[in-house]
Amino acid sequence: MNTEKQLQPIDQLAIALMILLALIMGFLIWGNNACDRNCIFHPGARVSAFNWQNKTIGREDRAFVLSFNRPMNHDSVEQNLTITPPLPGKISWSGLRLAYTLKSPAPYGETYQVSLAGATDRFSDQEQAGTTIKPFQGEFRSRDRAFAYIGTQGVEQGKLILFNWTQQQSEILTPDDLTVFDFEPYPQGDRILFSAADTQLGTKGVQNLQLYRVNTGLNAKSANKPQIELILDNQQYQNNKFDLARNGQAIVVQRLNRYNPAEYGLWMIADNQPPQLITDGQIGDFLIAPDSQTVAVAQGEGIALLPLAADAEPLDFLPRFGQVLDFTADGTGAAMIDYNTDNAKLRYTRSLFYVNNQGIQQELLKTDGSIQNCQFDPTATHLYCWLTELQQGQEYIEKPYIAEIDLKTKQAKTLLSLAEYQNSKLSIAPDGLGIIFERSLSNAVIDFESNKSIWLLIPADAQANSLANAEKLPFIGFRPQWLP
Amino acid sequence: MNQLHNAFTLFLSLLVEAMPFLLLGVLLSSSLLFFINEKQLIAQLPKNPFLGAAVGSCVGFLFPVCECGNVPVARRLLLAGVSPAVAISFLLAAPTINPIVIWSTWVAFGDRPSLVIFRVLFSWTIATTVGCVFSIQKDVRFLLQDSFAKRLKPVKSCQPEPAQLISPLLQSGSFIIEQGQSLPLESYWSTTIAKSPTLAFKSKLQPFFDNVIQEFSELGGMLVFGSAIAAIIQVFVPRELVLSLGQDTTTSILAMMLLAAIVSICSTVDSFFALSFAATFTSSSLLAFLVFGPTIDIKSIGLMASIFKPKIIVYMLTLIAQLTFIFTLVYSYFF
Repeated sequence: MNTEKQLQPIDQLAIALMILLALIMGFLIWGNNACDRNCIFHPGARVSAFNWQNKTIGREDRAFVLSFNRPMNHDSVEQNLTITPPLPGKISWSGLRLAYTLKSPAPYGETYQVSLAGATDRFSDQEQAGTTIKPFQGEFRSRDRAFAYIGTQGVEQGKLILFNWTQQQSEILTPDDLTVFDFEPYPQGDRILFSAADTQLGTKGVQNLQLYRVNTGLNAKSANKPQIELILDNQQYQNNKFDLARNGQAIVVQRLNRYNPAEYGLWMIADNQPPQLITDGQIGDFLIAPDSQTVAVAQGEGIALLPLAADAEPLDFLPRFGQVLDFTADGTGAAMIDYNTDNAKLRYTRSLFYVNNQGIQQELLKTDGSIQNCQFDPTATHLYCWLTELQQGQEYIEKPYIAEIDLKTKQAKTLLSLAEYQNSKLSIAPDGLGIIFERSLSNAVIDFESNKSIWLLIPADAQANSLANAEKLPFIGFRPQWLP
Repeated sequence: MNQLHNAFTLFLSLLVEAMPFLLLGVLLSSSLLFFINEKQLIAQLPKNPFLGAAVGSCVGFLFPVCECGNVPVARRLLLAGVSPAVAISFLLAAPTINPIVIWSTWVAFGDRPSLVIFRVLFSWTIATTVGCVFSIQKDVRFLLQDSFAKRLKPVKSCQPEPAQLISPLLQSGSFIIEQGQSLPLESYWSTTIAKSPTLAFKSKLQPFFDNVIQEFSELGGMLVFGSAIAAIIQVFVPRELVLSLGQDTTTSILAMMLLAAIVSICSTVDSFFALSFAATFTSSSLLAFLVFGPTIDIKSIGLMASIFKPKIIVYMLTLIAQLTFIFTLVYSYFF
């Protein structure tokens, strides 16, 4: 038998193909060794994914993840990773992924560069230094810093005003024929929910509120004009207080039937569905929990936690407390008021409590003045409150002040004291920059909304050894609120 | 003594893992024989080698079994006269391109979708390419083991081949004489009985079980042999030694391919096995493990040896290994 007869077509083709593939393999291996770090076909280590690349982040974004295509030398990555401007945080590893968790929300209105060069890979049992990573450059930005308020002067009167701090631009969001009474921004800051009435109704407007939504154009890729959308009319019911869930998908409204005053209750509007009655019991102040699933309602002699569902039955009842002031961002803690009604000696005093989901109820302060409102800072390490203290003397005088309470030490510190009684609601910047609040114009005796200006209070930085600094902003209006 | 104990444990675990799939494959193969008309099946398949291989690679969607289960099915397809392009591409692709394996890969590597996508894509391309290569061989018997090729003959004669080429008198095997015509036994079952609704279901069941037992005992023996070899190699070449070979892009691909061949793990669960190396190996080497493992491993080589000649298995193994290496190395440039 000769060789030709032995070799079948399959032998010829298979052998030829094996030789060809072996040549290709040889070429690729040679290319691998010859290719330097900046080669297009870089066979070495690289960042395969960066989850914040070109993303606009907000207060809820607290960690980014860099994924590598191979095991890396952790120390070399940690030493070579740079963020400009710097963002303090800590690094953790899970397999080929590095997570960088920010210590506090990234300051708004900035563009951040993440770069990694010079890090090396590391295989198991490898003794010599690994190959160097392909240089990586990533970028993300934080949302524009902005706040909204209700104007009181000139063309701004009764209108919702947006001030984009980053771009130093002011914009009127609502039309002339609407007078805005209250508002609540959506979680991304792209829209605002507000209650408003026809301007011609004047003071009667408060009984004829309708709920609207307006887009802010904030952080949008293209500029767009504010567009108003009616969310809830006032045909059959009078709409009072409202609250927007943190996920932006549910609205809770306190409503009264115009034709049957006995029908009074809490309603829910979810995903643009018709309103559903949650409870028609005797209810007071209410606040939606951060989980966007439950609402804390002052009911009778305590606080009922109701699910956001039609005809809800209470999930829990906190008999000790009379009002929920704020929840921490993660929903694990809350600030509540105990009116001390069960103790005759403490009558006419109020206690501020920190309550958490571990069952801890800690008294932060007791006052014979009043606790107007409180808000946690973004990292839930401090609680800021608008409080009043009762002046000693014959006359009943309450002096307001802003307090900062350290939740670790339970120490309260007065940041700002005001001479005359006035009401205000604090709003803490989502990135923790400062607190904005309304304050009566100087020497004003009566606390009218029309004579209020907006102030910024920057709390003292213990590390920088600075003092709290309050400054008046060039805006006349009330209800200032930072956008998330 | 300890090593012997380890080898026995590994041997048993491989068998326990693979036996149900083999049984499932044998049941499927027997169902093909008795409940599907082979002539129609062959008529439906494309004649073009590339199209045949491409279709064969996707047949796994209908038979979601792992590599030990699809050997009996591939054998049956070859016996039925299906072209080697279809049968070989099915044999190589079905362990990966089937819903269970794609789903399990997704569960394990959902955070790296490229691994899931390229596992399917590379397996399909390799299976189709190798299928096409083997379609060049017109005389299929040259590819097959002699004992298996003998069984092929009678079935082949049922196909519309020129009668003068093979005399009916020279055929071997069992025949049934009906209406003056002699028909090979296997062909008789597949053509006559499968088409006859008048015959009781029970009468089909007996030969079905006979075939299941025959195939299972034959392939089961090969599986026991393959598993024993795989277990012994794993004991004498520990995984740690193989893994330590991977020190850069190229060697880690080779190390994971070698590991895939040695551990002989079924394709339905190999993603979870590979997941344990996700933190210590490159994505491309994990992909090499996921592509190479289901097509070639020591355990399934034993089963494949019941069909193909050793030389053909060497061709197959070499081509698959080379293609896997090239594809995954190119993948490493981009991911």
